[in-house]
Amino acid sequence: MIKEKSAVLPVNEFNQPDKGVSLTLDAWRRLKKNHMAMAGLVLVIFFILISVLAPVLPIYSYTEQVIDHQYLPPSLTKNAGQLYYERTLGQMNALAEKEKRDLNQEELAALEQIKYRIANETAVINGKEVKVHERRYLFGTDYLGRDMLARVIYGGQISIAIGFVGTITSVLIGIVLGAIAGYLGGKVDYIIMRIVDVIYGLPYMMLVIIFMAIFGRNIINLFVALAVVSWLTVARVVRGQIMSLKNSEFVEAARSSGASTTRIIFRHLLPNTLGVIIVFSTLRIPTFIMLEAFLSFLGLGISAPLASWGSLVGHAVDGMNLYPWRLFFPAAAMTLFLFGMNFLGDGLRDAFDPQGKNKF
Amino acid sequence: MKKICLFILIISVLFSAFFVSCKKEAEEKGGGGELVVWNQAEPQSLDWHLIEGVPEHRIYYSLGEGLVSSDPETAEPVPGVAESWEIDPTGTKITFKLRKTTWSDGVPITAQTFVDSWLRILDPKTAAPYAWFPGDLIKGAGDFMEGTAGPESVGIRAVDDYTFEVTLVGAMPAAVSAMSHYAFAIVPLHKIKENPDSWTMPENYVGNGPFVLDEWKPQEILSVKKNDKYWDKKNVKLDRVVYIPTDDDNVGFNMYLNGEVDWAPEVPLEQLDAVKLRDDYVVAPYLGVYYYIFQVEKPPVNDVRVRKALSMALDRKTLVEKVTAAGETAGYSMVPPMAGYDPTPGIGEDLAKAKQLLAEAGYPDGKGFPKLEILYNTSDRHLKIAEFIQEQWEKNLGIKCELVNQEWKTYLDTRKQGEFMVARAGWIADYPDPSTFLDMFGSGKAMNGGKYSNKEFDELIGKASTMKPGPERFAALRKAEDIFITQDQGVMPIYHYVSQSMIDTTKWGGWYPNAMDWHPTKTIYKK
Repeated sequence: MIKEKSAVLPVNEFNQPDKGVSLTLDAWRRLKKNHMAMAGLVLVIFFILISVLAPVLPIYSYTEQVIDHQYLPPSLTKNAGQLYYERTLGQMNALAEKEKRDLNQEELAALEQIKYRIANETAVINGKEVKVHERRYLFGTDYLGRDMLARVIYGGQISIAIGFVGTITSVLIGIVLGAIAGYLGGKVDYIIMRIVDVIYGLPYMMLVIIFMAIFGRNIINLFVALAVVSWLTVARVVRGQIMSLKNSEFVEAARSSGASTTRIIFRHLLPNTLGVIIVFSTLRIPTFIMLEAFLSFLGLGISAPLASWGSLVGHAVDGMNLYPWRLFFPAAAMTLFLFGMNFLGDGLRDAFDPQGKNKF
Repeated sequence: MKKICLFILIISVLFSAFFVSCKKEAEEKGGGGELVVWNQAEPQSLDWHLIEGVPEHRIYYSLGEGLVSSDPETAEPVPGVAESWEIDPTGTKITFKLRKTTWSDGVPITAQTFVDSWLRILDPKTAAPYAWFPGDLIKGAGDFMEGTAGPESVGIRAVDDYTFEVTLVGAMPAAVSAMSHYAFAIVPLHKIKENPDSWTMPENYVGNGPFVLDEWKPQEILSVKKNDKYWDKKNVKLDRVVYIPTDDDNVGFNMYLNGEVDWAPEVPLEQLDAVKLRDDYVVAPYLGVYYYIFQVEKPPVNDVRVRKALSMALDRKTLVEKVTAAGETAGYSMVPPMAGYDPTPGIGEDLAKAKQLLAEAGYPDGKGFPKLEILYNTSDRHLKIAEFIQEQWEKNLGIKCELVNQEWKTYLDTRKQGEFMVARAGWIADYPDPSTFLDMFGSGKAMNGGKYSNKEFDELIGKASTMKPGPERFAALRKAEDIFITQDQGVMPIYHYVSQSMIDTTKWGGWYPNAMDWHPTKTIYKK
């Protein structure tokens, strides 16, 4: 009888089962109450889904150029043919107005020809013959007649990938080195932390640029370059956490029952620092996206025809007074994602913060 | 509430101060004859022997003057320091009569100044980027540059104080015109001796142009004022010329739109739609060619069939009409059309033939074709053109390309060393003659990064350089161009340039569009 009772879940004073509240579960409960953070989470998941599903979504290719359709404004109702005709007509009218005349024969003939082509022209895209002027551009087109919607989505794929991959790599490096330094202490700690100090002292952007210049420009190198210079803060944070935990009772217990150093670090200490790391990582992702945007803006990021939000914005700045949609959509997508990520990060910080813990 | 009031007060004070300062600036500008030029880049140097760019050339027109200057309308040579010149019947010796004039500090300029200055640019120790220009033109100069002969062997001589004699390698018809270029500039050697490192600073600066250096704040402003010692100062109308070095196209262009700049020598690609409707937009044919250069030693472009296929599979007409869109002409020849010279027709465009050639080279439908790298220097214009070509080659030939962009100086190095497959390039005539477009592709020439080499081509170019001006010379150059483009496709010409400027010609006189895009500031005046 007694034996059985001890196997049963603990109950509270109202005889309800009293489940233990883990830190993660606790944090999740508190996060659910934070509306901004939840909105951020939904937004982030939405963006990630769109990016991952990009190849199967019914969107145009992001490299397909329909050169007639350059600089078409975004439209929900009109198809490309109508917009193309309007744009050409607008240009001709403006020119005629400047020269104080009506449209001449030549221009009228050109317009007729465009009308004919809009009605009849076909093109083979992805092996299918389609009426090319019936395409619809919800976000408008760019200087080579490429669909901005597709470019923003594929741009997001790259930007988000850089955010996550960069963060994960830098966090992994940072955790391992920070944990080793913090737990072992002494000379190991000294050497690792002095290396961190030295790299901290070097100009950050410069390192990335030099790295890209030496190893060549491709996405993998961009990931590596960004990760290599950004694990420093993680290492410091993790080291601090580990140092404050390493003399606590549960570590003593583990050690006295004969656990190895590796096991103590990775099984006992790290899970306890996870909260800090998760928060730090979420706040880190936007930084990476901004960094990539900055590099792309300088022309050092990814190489064409690939696009990232940063490169799209960078190239759109030139004509922003004439073709504002080219700037607006990638900028809006990026801003929304960064907002989402920051709200989520803030929410997580509050949720994981033991000081602000309110009992459920 | 109090705080808000204070805040509003501060803001309004700041704003009014801002407007007042703007107004003041505008008034000052209206007063004297001051031309503000958006100069696109910070000059490398004001030592004319150490420069190689167009922005520096614009400053050279104000601060320096060689034997001849150029006519603002036709870009033909007009007297500069030389009053007159005579070309001997063989066309290889030119005798210049110099006028009695001085540097801005009163030290006289003599024929010896020219001898000393030209030897300085040719001297390998100066490491002048443009030394090859006089080096190719003047007899014996090449040997002196390579160190195999002394300065006495260079074909320049001061006959007396005011007679200067130049012996050329051959009868180059545009030789006198070439001498308006800064590679033939004189520099104040007496000042350089005093301050070898800081003679280009405003406090030490001595020049012989229509203007002298007034103020130079790097990355901010460079201004010049009228030179009192200039021989033709009564015909210099402007009091000051200000050069703004901003290298961002949009910033420069917006400065023009706001009236902060009077002359913008470039228009951002994306503004063309709006700019074309303006009256102050000046477009003129420009002796220049935009082309892709092949590294002919690197597979797969070492195969002439591949090069021809690539060239034939590009729709240049759409490119110039839709992408560059400023009135450039599709180019199939290295030499743009110019008076008296009929450029090679090239091989044109033919998609079916291109596919056939590619198949013959062993890549039917682009199968097995290695990834082609296209190198270009970082710029929106080059990126757009490269993206267009990338898509064309992929669609038409099934060839995948990778775009590699490098910053200008790195790109120049990479190109000169031939570390590329296909690279973007452009060439602007240094003087109005077809040879300026062809000379540099001779075997082993420093600028020939594509490593193109053909004996017959070398011979024809060599022959043309010693021939007298006239149809036979042009025939020889034409034959060389035929071999280079139509037969070997050493490079792939894409389009021939137009020059684009924004300047209100109802306000400014003495500025004319011309085929070299040379605009001496000496003749510009405010109407």
